Amino acid sequence: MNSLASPSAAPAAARRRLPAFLANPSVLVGGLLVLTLVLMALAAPLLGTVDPSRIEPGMRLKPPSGLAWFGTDLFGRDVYSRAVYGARSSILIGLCVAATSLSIGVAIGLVTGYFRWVDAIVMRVMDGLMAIPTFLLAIALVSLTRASIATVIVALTIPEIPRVVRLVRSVVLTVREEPFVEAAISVGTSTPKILLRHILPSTYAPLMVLGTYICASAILIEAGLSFLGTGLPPEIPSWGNMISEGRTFFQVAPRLVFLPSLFLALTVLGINLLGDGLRDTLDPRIAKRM
Amino acid sequence: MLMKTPPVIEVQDLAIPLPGGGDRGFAVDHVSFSVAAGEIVCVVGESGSGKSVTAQSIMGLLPKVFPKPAGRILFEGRDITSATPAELRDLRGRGIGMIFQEPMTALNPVQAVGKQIDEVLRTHLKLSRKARFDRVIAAMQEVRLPDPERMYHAFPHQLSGGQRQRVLIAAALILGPKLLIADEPTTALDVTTQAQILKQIRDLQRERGMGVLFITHDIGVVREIADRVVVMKAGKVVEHGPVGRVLDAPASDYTRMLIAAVPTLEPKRKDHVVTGDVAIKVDGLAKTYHSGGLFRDRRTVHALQGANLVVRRGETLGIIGESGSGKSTLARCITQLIEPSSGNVTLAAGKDGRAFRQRLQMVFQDPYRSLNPRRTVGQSIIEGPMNFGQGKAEAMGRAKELMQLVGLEPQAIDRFPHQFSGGQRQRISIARALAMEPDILVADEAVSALDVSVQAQVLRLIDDIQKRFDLAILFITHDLRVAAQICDRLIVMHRGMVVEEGTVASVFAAPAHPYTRELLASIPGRAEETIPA
Repeated sequence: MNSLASPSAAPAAARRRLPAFLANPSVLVGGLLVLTLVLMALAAPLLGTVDPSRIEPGMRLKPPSGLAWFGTDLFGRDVYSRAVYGARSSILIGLCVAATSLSIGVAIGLVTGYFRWVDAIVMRVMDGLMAIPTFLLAIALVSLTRASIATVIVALTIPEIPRVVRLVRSVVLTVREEPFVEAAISVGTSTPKILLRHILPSTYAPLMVLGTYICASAILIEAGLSFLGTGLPPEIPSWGNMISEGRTFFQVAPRLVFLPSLFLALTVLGINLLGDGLRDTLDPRIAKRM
Repeated sequence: MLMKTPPVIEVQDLAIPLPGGGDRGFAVDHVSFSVAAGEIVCVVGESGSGKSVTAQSIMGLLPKVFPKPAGRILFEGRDITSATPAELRDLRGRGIGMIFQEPMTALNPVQAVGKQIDEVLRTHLKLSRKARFDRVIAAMQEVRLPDPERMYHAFPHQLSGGQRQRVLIAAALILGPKLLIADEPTTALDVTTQAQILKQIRDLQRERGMGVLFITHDIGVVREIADRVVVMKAGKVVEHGPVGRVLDAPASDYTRMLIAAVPTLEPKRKDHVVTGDVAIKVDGLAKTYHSGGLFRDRRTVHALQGANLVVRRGETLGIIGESGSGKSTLARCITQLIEPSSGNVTLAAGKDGRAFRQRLQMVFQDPYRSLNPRRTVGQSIIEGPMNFGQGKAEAMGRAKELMQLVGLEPQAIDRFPHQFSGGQRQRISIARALAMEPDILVADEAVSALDVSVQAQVLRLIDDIQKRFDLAILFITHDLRVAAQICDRLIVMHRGMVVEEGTVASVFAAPAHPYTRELLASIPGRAEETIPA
């Protein structure tokens, strides 16, 4: 009876529930949505698209037709092709921001959680970063340099790192007090091995969930930056750029805004559903830590 | 025909199915018993026997994973299994009071304790603020909480474990219930506190003539407090009857085993002569903690003050003390898990220059948390040897031998800790320590979390490996019965200091320090046994 409530039962239970992932409706729906959009981004050239950057002055603001399924924009570019290719930059940015902020955050978080003297210094820096709204920080960072996909990724990663650090640190603070960590110390295991072998695995489940939120928020913020004109340069097709350019013609041709907005909404919805579902399946308690 | 007053609580044929996939069909398997007014009935059993679930179902507090129980529960002759939630709420508090095992978690940490007792009155009665306050103070006085007016405003963390349990008893009894259900109320407490709480429950029960359903795993506690006993095993009632008959002339094998597994206070190693060389020497070990800092006052806690000890090979030194006595701090300083503020730990000169971590190993208290749940037991056992350069294949081979040595299947090495029981996990922890081929073993409450029957087996194993490997063992425990079984010598710790030292027989027979005397007098069930000099 008592073992049901013991903390060690939790990871064991998670292991058993792993195949049950897909039984969760939000994981299933979210996963399918994300998978479809990723496939769409990868297979963009095969989906009846034309070069998304080709400008045809004679085709400006044409309504939908057999040639251009969703019509053309101000410069005669194919709206459908641009939206499909736009998925590439959005998803690329989302994944890269999630991956880099997680890896950097995990490294910092492990060290800060384990060594008290590092903690005092690093966490103050992190608190400082957290005090600036993500969006403002990103705008500031992008405007320091020339806009490109890499710049946007860096600008979006930096504000996300403190969130990861705080999460990892909180896990480390609890796990390092576990007797099995003391047991590892007393058989002479080195500190890096203790961090990687005994403590890191406990962060996987919460990080997976946090990763999805970072991914979704990065996609949204990138679209926001591009909408404001501080994100990706206009020649790279991106949903944010398209919405921004289409805004002026919203009353004449609402389709210019509709398609990229729809894709953007579906992507973020899919990722968030996936994250919510993962959180429920993996560990309901971590919701509190975030 | 003679009209009898119905018992306070009568459980008839109670059956609670286990939610799917368990090793047995029922958590509580058609159990019947009753508690009359003015008697204390102990339900005794090992973990998983269904004793707590039975108590929870009487209170209508069964966790939601369980389906609705079958059978009847009669409170003063009235069936309460079909009571509405509102009726049950009224019954709890007025009719039945309950106290729990963990006095810390049973209290709300952010509310003053007086308010928490007051809540019972606010829920059930319509009284003025002043009248309620007076009743709460009276209730606190009745359980002998010191300075109730001041303590009314104290928060749970400011109270000791025993005081917290007293607050819970006050809250449970303030409405004068007919029945008190006590679910392992003293398990989390020190023996001296346990003795006080048991006496208190006994006194209150006599004064008020209420029935008490007392759930425990400790036969010693049963002996102290019970009028009648119900022995449970795997959801079934194995035996019940008056305390004298069940404990002194048990009818079932299981009860006999339970009683026999309780270690006696007779020092087992009276005739054991230690001739080994000194393996470890500890001089003036001390640990001081400082808290506070920039914006707060500095506070200094002397967790350990000037401990000296020597252990020879083949000898077991018991370190006895209650929580906060500094015994775990001593163990952690010796094993270099924390750095002592001053003092030295010297190991005997090793022939082969092996590292400290190889020569001194530790077995931890909690078998559920001392093994990494994500790693196979084999990986846990070979970790140490591989840290010191042993090859994986060789270490694995050795790990299999060790599994056999501690009484487990060598093939089980690829399993994960959750697939083992508590006792088996403790065997694995011992195998992990032995894999380092240590000279000295530090066992920190290594058998405290185990059921008595399992405890006896693990103690035998420790005894056995000591002989086999000529180990020096430092055995830390709060349980004097366990200490009597395995130790040659004892040191008794109190508030960070060693207050007494000597052979087990001499400490038990002629305790010199008042604290040792109090400790010995508090051992539950001791009155029935004589300690041989």
